[in-house]
Amino acid sequence: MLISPRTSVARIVAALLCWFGCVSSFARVQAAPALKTVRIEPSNIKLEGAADHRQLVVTAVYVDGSVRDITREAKYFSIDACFHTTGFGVISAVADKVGSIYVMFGDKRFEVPVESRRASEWTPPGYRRDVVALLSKAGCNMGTCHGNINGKGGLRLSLRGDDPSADFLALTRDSFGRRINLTNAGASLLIAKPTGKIEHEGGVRFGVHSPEAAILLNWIMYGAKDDEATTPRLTRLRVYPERQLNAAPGLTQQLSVTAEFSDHTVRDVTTLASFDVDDPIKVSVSAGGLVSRKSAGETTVSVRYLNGRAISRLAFLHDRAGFVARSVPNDNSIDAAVFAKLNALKVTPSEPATDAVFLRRAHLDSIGVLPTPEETRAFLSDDDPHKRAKLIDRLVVRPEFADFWALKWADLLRNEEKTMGDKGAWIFQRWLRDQMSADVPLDEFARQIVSAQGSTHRNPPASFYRTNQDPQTAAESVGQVFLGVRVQCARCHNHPYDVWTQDDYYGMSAHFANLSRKILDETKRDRFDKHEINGDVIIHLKGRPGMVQPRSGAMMDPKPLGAKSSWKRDDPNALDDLARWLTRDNPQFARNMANRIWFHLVGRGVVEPVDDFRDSNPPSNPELLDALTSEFVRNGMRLKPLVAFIMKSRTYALGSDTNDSNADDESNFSHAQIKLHPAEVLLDAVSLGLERPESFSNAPRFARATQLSGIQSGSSFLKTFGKPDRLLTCECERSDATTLAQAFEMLNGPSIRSKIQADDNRIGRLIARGASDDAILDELVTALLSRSPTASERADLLAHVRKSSDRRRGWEDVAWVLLNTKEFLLRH
Amino acid sequence: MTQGCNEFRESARFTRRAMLTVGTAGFLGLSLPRLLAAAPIARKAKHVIFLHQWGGPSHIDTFDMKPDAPEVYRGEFKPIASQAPGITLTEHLPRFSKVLHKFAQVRSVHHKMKNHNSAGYYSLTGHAPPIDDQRLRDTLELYPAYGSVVSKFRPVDDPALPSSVSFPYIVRDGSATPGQGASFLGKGFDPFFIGRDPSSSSFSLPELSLPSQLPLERLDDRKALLGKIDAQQASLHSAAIARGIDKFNDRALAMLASPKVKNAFDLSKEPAKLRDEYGRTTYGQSCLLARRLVESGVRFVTVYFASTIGQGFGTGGWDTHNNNFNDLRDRLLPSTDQTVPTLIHDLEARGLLDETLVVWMGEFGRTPRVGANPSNDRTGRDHWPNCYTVLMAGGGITPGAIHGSSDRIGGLPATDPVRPDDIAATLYWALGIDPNTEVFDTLGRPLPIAAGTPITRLFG
Repeated sequence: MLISPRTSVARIVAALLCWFGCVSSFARVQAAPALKTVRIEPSNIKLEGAADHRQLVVTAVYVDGSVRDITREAKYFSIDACFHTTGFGVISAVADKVGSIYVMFGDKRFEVPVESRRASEWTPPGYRRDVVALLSKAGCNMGTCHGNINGKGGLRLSLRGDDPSADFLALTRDSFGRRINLTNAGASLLIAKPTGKIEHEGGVRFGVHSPEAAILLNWIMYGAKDDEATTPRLTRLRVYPERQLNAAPGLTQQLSVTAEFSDHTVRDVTTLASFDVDDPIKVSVSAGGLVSRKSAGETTVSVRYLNGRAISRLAFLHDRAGFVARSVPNDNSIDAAVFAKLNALKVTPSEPATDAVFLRRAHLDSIGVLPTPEETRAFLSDDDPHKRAKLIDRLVVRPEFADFWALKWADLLRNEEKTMGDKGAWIFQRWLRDQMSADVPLDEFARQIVSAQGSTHRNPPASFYRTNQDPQTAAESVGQVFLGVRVQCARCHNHPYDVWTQDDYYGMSAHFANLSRKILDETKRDRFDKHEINGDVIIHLKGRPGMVQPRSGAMMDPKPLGAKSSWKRDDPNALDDLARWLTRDNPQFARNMANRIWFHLVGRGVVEPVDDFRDSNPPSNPELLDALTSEFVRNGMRLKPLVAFIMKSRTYALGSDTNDSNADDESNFSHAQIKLHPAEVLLDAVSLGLERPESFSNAPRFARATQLSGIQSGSSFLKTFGKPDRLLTCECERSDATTLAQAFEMLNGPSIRSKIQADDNRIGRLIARGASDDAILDELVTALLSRSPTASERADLLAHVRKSSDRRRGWEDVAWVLLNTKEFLLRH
Repeated sequence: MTQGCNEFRESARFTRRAMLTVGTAGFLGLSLPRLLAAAPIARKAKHVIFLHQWGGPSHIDTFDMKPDAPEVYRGEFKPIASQAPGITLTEHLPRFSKVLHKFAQVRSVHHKMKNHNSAGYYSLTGHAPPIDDQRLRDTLELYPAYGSVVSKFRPVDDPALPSSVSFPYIVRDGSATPGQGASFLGKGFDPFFIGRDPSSSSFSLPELSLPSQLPLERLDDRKALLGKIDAQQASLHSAAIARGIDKFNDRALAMLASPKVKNAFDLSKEPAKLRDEYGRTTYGQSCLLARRLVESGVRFVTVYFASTIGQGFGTGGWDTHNNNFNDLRDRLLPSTDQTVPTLIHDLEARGLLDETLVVWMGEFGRTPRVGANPSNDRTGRDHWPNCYTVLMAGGGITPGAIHGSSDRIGGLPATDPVRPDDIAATLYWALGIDPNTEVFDTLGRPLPIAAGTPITRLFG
């Protein structure tokens, strides 16, 4: 058998790497558990035709139950010459035979049966199965390269190979067919460019002697034909493994990708599949499907081949020899899911938060209001073992709870004055607040919104169609808010990394196509502004629903996203059907709501971003999402019981101080999230802490920022700290970024300055009351930080006040310092 | 937004045609490899001064004159010669005629947005808006300002210095024009905005000046005390977001304390004679401020000519639907003639012109036919996105270069049509930023910072 120089070099390198790997791993894990067995996928191999091959994936299983990918460490050989093996675990056939190959690992040998047929029959590569996949794999049709809407260097391909027929024309016909040279295939631009024989802006994509070049060369030599009519369709794409936790020191995982076709053939397409990773800085995937992670952690690899998709969820564990698994609680399904995952990842959660931290967090997360000094003292001195649970039960029935959760919905449902009108914004806000206060089941809440008609002033949920004016926007908003999916891409082209097609998109939009609006008492200030509506709007239906799919020209009947069939178009009201479909036994509705509520309390969704549910963005802990969802459904899809359930979990009550094992954990909830408070909460905290209410234009006196209806009242403070403009149906519109403008606002902005300097603020009242410095300090720290001052804080702060020439100004400095502490600014 | 998709497809069709053109060029023996070759990223420009001419200046009455066209097109003004052979400009820019040979001109810029806000957004970002809307809404779905993109990809190293500064107005037409902020890049990349008049004697920045009861020393005291208290919550203090807060606090304090920044904004440091030469107008002193900022290291400076579009009656910008010739002759051109040539001379005298790309452009040009709209006063020109002129100087551009041309009445591009997308790509390219660099919008979609192709021919 011929061995090319390249292969032998690779083998030597592989051998060296393996040797180093063995030595270093030997040094590090002397106490590694004994090998129990080795798992080989596939366990038997059938090869058909000369070009066929199989990627093996070999996994070591140890006696303690841990596993690790050893595909690159195992050795492969065949005792006769009929089968060919590589050091990477790829098996191919030279002749027809029923036999075996052997996999060696350590001193153990495993046999894998192999059957090869028609090994001498070679079929040239096809356009649809090979060339199209290769263009994606080599990155030719990426958005930055030829997949750009303008193409690149004159060649334009469809984005990520979405349209192979158009690409075929581009490759073979455009530029007078000069990209393909049928008489001298090797001289074709299509080969000369990516292999670097001719200057190529995109660089060398693959070598002259690579398998990719061979595919292109052979395809061109055999006539560069489109074989659409004769090629079987892809019916299923599988990746192995779909989920694996690799024990240390493993940081690599071989993947194998198999495609099933409509003619029931199965093909190993590992080398033709494209791999995308969630964190390209830490993770890479070789052309042959070897995933390498720079350090321990979790990774989701998305696999694409033609129009098929699959994902592999991998973890590479730290070597934590002394790790002691925590017992997994069985009295709370959230904790059961979270702690089981943490144990599997060998991550130790943070210690529970102190009472003071918990009190502050519980208040700010659930009602958006600081505890008063009285509440803080009462809670901290209470020795009832159930005081946290009782606190939570008190919080969810407070009126501020309704204000705060109405605010979150007002963001998503885009309650802003330009489109709603001042009056409309208050009406809608009051309706949202009433729903939250009454704890209306969220399916009922959604049903009222989606099926709403009539006057937006008399039937406030109809305001949804006041802001979402065209059918496409309404479809996008319903998808994003109520199902947690982003379908926007499919407006113009099939979604490149999700299942949504343009048919799905326009089928969903069709529900809203016969919505009509009549504006009453229009008193808009700017007659040129189409977005401004200042009167009442009557939402009504006119004609039948249905929408033209612009690319195919087909008239689409209303069909919900992901539903199997469409509604009949002769019913003019598709909205009721949609609302029913959305809220009755729709698992995605409940999953989305549960995930959003978790996000608002914990600071991060189980699926993150919360409105981006798709196969390639799986939940970080599927069992946790299931637990939240079933609890939500069990309680009749009400908000308050789920809020209380989450807040009573151990997971919610964890501290934010991290340890060595969980410091870099972002997605497994092993510690409390530290993040900037929402703008309104922060401003209210300043106001309440200093007892100086903010005055807002166009709002009742003493209103809190969380109670405002729209976006226009309030100083620059709210905008600067990320209050959204409410023009997008996306949680992402609320910014939690830190900025320079915030620094100026906190250093010396008007909101902060006026509250600190006001004569009758908390400082002023304490001084007027003749309170001692110690008493003032106690009160200020308790009011602002929800705890008593520590001894060293007391010493530092009192020393500052005493050395100040002006006592009042000294206290102002102290107040400024407390407002600027991370403890005040950050949720923790 | 549906229109967005039509636009999207249309541009795709357009390129297929363009692609054929490239193929033909190759066939006819032009150097195809050179056409297709990687455009090496220029790195000559270190700064950009973007002079935005809000309202839409008439191209025919300024730099793309049509003296041979019938009077109803050519208008009242006569061309005069510049120092570059064959390049003329209006008689009402006599000082400009002495520097025009230092500019390159693109005379075939075109798009389809007829409303100020949509066209303005296009001119400020290089991306076509989804709809042509008089009150285009500024949402996070729209693209960021040039200065924001540049802040992200080629920031200034000095923490006391903003990467991008814009002044002296937020431009609006009924509602604020989108494209003046960082949009989906995040507020951290917003240009540092100054909404005050640099020609005012009391011009200063409240952000950079502390009130008398809070002098820098007291602020330093407070910071020291804060450091002590924060240090007691060590774990909170080390969180990534806490470090972000500290970073910006330090920057804010550095800006307050830095003489360099204060100095850059202190126009009183300039000799009175030079200030006079720039013109003691908002625009004149704004351009002087632009030069001072560039000199101190700011990367991208946007100067808005006017806050409103103007209506041809002596205020605001270049929107001369009425009274076109009088308003140009009496106000808009004299102010331009006073300021822009001074800026060019001043940059050159300080050796800054080579590394500073100066761009002069509005959101569109104006109708070739005078008084075409009967509802106006017959002496106006209306909105004309179909063809207009963009000027660039410095930053490695070839002086005197003319790219593209318009037809005999200035109505449509005759050769080398250029879209604002290409202007955007050119700006980024000149600054050494690959125009194909991808950014991610709020939905996580990868989008190129510029959808066009840099006009590399303009650079030597």
